[in-house]
Amino acid sequence: MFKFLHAADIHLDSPLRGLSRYESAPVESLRNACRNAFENLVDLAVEEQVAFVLLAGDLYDGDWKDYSTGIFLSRQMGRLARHGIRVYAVAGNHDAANRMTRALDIPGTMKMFSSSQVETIKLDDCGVAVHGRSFSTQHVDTNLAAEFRPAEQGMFNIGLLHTSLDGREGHAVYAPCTLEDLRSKGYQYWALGHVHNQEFVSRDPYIVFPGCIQGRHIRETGAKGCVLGTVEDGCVKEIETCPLDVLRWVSCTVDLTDASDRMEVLELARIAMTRERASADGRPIALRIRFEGATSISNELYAYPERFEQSIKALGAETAGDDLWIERVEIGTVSKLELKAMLAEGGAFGKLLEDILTTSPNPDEIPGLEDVLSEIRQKIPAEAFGDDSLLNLDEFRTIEGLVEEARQLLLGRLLIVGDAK
Amino acid sequence: MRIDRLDLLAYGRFTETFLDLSEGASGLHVIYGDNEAGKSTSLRALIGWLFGIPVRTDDNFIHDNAQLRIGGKLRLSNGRTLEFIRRKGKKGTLLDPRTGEPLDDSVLSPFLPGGLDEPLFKKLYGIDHSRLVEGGRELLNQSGDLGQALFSAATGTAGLRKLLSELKDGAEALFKPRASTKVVNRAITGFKDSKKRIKEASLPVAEWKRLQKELSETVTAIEQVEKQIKVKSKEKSRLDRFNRVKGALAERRALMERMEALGEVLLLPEDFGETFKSAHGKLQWGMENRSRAESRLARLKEESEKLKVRSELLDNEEMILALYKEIGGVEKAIHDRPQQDAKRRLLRSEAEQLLKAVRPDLALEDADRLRPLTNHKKWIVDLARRHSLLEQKQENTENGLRHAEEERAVLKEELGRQLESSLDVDDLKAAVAAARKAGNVEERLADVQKRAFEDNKACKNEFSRLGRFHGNVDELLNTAMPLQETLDTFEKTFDGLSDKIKDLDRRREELSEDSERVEQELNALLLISDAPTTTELEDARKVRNKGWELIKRRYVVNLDAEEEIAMYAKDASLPVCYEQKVGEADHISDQLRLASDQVVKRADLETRKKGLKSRLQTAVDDIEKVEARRLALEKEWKQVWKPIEIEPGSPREMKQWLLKVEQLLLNVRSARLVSAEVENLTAHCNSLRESIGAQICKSDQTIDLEGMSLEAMISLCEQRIAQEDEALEKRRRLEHSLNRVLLDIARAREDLASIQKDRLSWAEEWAQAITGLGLEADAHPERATEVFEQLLAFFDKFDKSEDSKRRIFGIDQVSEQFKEKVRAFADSIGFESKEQEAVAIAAQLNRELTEAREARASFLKLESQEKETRAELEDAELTIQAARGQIAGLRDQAGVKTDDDVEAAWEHSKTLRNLKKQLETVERELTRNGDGLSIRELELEAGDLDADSIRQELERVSAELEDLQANRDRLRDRRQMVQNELSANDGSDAAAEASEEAEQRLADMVSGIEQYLRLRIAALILEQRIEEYRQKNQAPVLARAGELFAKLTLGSFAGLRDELSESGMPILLGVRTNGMEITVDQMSDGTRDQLYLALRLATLEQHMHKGEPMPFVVDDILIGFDDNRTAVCLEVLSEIAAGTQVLVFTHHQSVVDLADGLKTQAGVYSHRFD
Repeated sequence: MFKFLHAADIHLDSPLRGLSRYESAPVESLRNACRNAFENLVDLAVEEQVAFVLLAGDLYDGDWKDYSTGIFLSRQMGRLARHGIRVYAVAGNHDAANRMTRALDIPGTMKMFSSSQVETIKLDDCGVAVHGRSFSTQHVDTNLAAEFRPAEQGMFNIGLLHTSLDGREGHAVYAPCTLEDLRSKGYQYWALGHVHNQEFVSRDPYIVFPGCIQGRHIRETGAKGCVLGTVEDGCVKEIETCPLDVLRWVSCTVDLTDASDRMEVLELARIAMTRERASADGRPIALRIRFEGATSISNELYAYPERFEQSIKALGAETAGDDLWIERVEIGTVSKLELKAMLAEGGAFGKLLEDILTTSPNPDEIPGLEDVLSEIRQKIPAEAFGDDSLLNLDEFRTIEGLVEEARQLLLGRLLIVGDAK
Repeated sequence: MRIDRLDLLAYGRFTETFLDLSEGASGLHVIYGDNEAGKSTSLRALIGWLFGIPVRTDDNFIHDNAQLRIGGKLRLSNGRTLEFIRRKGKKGTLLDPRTGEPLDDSVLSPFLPGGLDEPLFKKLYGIDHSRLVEGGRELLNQSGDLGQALFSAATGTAGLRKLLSELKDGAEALFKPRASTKVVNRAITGFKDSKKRIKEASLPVAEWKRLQKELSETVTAIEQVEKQIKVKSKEKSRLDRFNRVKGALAERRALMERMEALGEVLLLPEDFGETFKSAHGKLQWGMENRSRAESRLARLKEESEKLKVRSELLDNEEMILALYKEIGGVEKAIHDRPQQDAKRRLLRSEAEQLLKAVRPDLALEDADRLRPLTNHKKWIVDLARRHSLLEQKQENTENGLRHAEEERAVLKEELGRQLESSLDVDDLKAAVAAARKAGNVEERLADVQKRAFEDNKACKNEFSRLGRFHGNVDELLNTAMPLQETLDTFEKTFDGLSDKIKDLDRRREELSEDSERVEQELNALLLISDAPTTTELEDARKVRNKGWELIKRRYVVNLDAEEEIAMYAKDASLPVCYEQKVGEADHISDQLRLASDQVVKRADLETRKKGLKSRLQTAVDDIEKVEARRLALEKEWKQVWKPIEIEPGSPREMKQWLLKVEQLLLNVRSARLVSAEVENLTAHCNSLRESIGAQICKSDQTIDLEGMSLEAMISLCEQRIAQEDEALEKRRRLEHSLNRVLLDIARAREDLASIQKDRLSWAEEWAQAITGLGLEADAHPERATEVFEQLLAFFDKFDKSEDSKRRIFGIDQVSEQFKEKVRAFADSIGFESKEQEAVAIAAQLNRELTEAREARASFLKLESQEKETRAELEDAELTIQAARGQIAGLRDQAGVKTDDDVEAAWEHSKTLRNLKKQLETVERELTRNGDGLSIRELELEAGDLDADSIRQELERVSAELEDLQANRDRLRDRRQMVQNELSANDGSDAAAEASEEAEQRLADMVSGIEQYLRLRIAALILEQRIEEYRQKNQAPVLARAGELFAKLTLGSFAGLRDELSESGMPILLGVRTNGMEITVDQMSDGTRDQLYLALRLATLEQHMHKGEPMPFVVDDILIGFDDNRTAVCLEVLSEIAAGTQVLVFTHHQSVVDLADGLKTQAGVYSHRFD
């Protein structure tokens, strides 16, 4: 009987994205999240006394040039070597793009599979054959699985491959292959990488994406980690998922229906924060919190979103201290005032509100908006407008959303202005 | 929507107060109340009623929160109304005024469109003074911007300009293209910095490899250089050593040569020189001391011979000192003597005067004869005192006697006036005691009478309530009632029978229900299936068979049966009819077969129906039987009661009745007992009255006892007894006083007699005491005392003068004795006194003694100095001898004869010792510098080297070595540098951290820009809307507002106009009647307020017609308006009131008065809270 660990998509030293700093933000507790998660992986391997660790690609980010990361990786490999734990790794699309991969100073106990052909390593002491192939270039669109040899008879066969299979949502296509391609090889375990969400594609044989080991932005929510397999008599006896992440990304929604004042809103938010914290197994969380529901306080929230955001952040610091980073506060509430019905009654004010409500999001129809946008484009670094960014100004949806929020802000302020004495 | 009525049911200080606002088509309603209590509360109530009572309210000071209620009635323009009550709370606060049940909140929706809430309502349909002022100020701040002015007035939003600038400022605080401190600009800078840091902190792969290679090369180079350094170092150290020791070696050789040259020399101890020198020193010192001591001794001798010591004085030292001491006393005595003499003469003349006053017949010298009299002093004083005591005592006693006699007369008179009483008090007391012992008989009697009356009355009532019995109470007492057991038996039997009837009834009901159910089922069955019976089948078959018979007869047998056929077939032909009948029979048979279930069920149901019917009949019969039995039992029951002529109820009732009868009888008996007690008490009371009355009559027949209560009579008697007792007591006291007075008189008389006796014996004694004083025997004690005092004073003075005389004598004697003593002494020592006074001699002696003492002291001092000097002389001699001996010893030690030879030997010894020491030093130095080599080895090594070229050689080797070392240090620095560089990047997370920060800055930027865009877009939209609004509404609103403005300013302005400002913005202008145009900032505050009001009302009017009108609530905007303006404003409001209900809340009476005087089309209605 032996155990092994399967992890992928380490993306060492890749930064956490979308965390805007604020006064009480727990900057320190989130430092080096990827490295810490990787250290957790090594600790786990040592603790579980596994026979070997499988790394199914993407150890680094493609454009990351700091060799220090490589040194860190070597050291961690060294730690595994000292405990007699072997490592089998393939290069993924990111690794292939990175010069560091070839220059890496790795101990003899770590094997990086060839990128020119499929290699098979036999471990006679535990009866295992590991078949694997690295990416030679960043873009591999051929079916690498097709080149894998049939299973070694009488051994526990593992296929190590970085692939998007037949396509996964939100992930680019790399080394495409079908499930059948993999099954036909007769392996007992396919250790895949590339997809950042954990997925057991099949359980007979095991075809597994372990997911990344540390979420890096709000689209990578939930527990992240690796898979721990126990093999006995050439069969998988037990499969366990082990969280390794040091910071968890959480997106939650708070229903404000029937909340009638700020205190109640904050109380509901506090409850949500406490709940989300409790479900993170003691890790700090980066929280996106969205407020929904029909409430009489909606206008106030829309009117001063930044004030509201600040009070939520302060509440976060108060509730969870260094264990909570508010990633973003989103307001999606609905006013209790039936504006449309009220507007039908006429009146100058009603007319105005109606006009504001029906303002077109098209920048052309808001005089001066195009100037503002081009000014921003000129002045702000391009990274802020990337495809992944919330601020992709080339997307009509982004502008539409901002205009909608501006409308709500204006309505909110018009409705409460002069009353806030 | 309008408000028809507002009910302040329980709110603030109001309870059940109603405000009727239903008058007029819509109407202007002026609501007056004093400032806090009336006006504001009612306005708050109105808002609270429509939109809910605030969580925190101050209007709960009379009615608590749970009791607060506001009600009223709303009406839409289509006539639909809603009445509701609002309570305080979170949910379900609307109540139906009729049922008090909660109403759904949605009932309000048609009246308050779109969930209109309180702030919005106030904003759109309300105006108060502060908003008016704020509106005016806003107009000023907008600098007359027409669009903003119209817009603010239309929306009731006073802070429009503030809102716009808030949006713009907010955006600017976040981002400005050409700033650096704004939030987003800072984030951009931070982002760029972080990017730079990533680059700086990153370790490129090639760089890493280069460093590794450099490190290994450097390490190898360092190893090689170190090897070379080792070789060179060895060489250098050899040269160094030679260089170091070469001087020492030469020196050593020189020293050894000098020692040899010195030859044989005796080595003297190191301290030899010192010892020799000190011995010489000592010798010299001794000789000097000796000559000094000799000269001093000679001088001392000379001095002591000069001194003179007078031993005759020193031998009598004590005597001289004693004399000298006495001088003081003697001088004082001589000084005092004249004073003593004067004193003596004064006392003596005083004594003479005193004696003359007492006894002029006697001379001073004979006065001593009188001295024995002075012993009588105590006696005379005592007698004088006794005399005055006796006088006083006699006077007191006489006074006492006189008083007692007067008192006796008074008492006797008083006693004579007291009368003897004839009354026998003891009888009276006995009678009263007897009456008291009986207690308060009258009260008890009254109580008992009352109780008897009440008891009797209660019994009577109870009896009359009892019913059934026709006789009186006494008859009831004597009537025998049926026994309890009889009643129980009847009750049980009756109960048994009625239970049975109930059971039977229930059974009958069940049976009839069952039979109904069966009937229904049967009917249902018949309805759905129309199931035929077998009887029907048989009937059909019979008909069919008859047809067949007829066919057979007609067609087979050919018999005539036309008539029958006609009957059978009626209208149809026979075959057709037969066929039909066959079909019918078959149909029935088929149905029977098909509906066999129903048939069976029907049969079953019919059977059950029959059975139920018969069981029902049985039940009815049973009921009748039991009923009969019950009637019989009732008859029997009545029979039981017949003898006592009572109409009985049910046994249970009769049992209750009997219980009541018993209770009644008990009460009657106890009432009768009470009545008997009344009689007893009455008799007792009367006997007491008689006995007391008799006693009273005895003492006083005039009193009318009729109608007097027993208690009063007893009190009267007690009063009489008290009077008698008091009189007796007084008489006793008088008699006692009289006895005492008589006794006092007798005692006083006795005292007077004894006093007379005492006076006689005193006179005798007195005569004896004063004999010799030269007075009459009966001289008054005071006179005698005075003379006696003078006598005593005389003796006092006389004695004192004698005393002085004795003293003077003593002084003279002392002085004489001293003189003799001094002269005797002076003569004894041969002192020449010449003719000096004794005192002066004594003083002279003393002075000379002092001088003799001083001379003796000097002599003693000189003697001791001489002794000391002799000792010094001896010491010096000894020292000289010792020094000479020592010097001789030292000469022997050095093996020479003379002192000069000693010096030379000592010099040689010192030189040898010095050389030896130097050699030792040199050899030690060689050992130290020779790197462990022996002197001999060093000498050998030195032999190979050329001392002259050593310096050059050494310089060469040193230079080579330095070069090598410098090279090595350089390489080491290099290695360190490379290592540092490597370790700086060695797995460091600096770059990763910078990249983390860059991402955070990026996120800052994104969120900042998002908010920036929201604010900018909001501002753009708002500006756009304001402009649009202006374009659309400028003309109509401005015209109407101009009219209103003219009115409100009482014609001071003619209207309003718009114009483009210099910057091309449309601005608002006021036009005076003379055509002058006034900009907004030129207007006064009040005018601007009115301008805002005009714009506000104009917009309100303009939009009023478009939908359901809402009431316009005006709160005290007329503050600060004078009467004229108030009237105009009310007029303008009443114009608005033509279109919608206008509610004006005010706390100024004048506003109400002005409103009452207003005649308008819409109607003005005033309401007051008092």
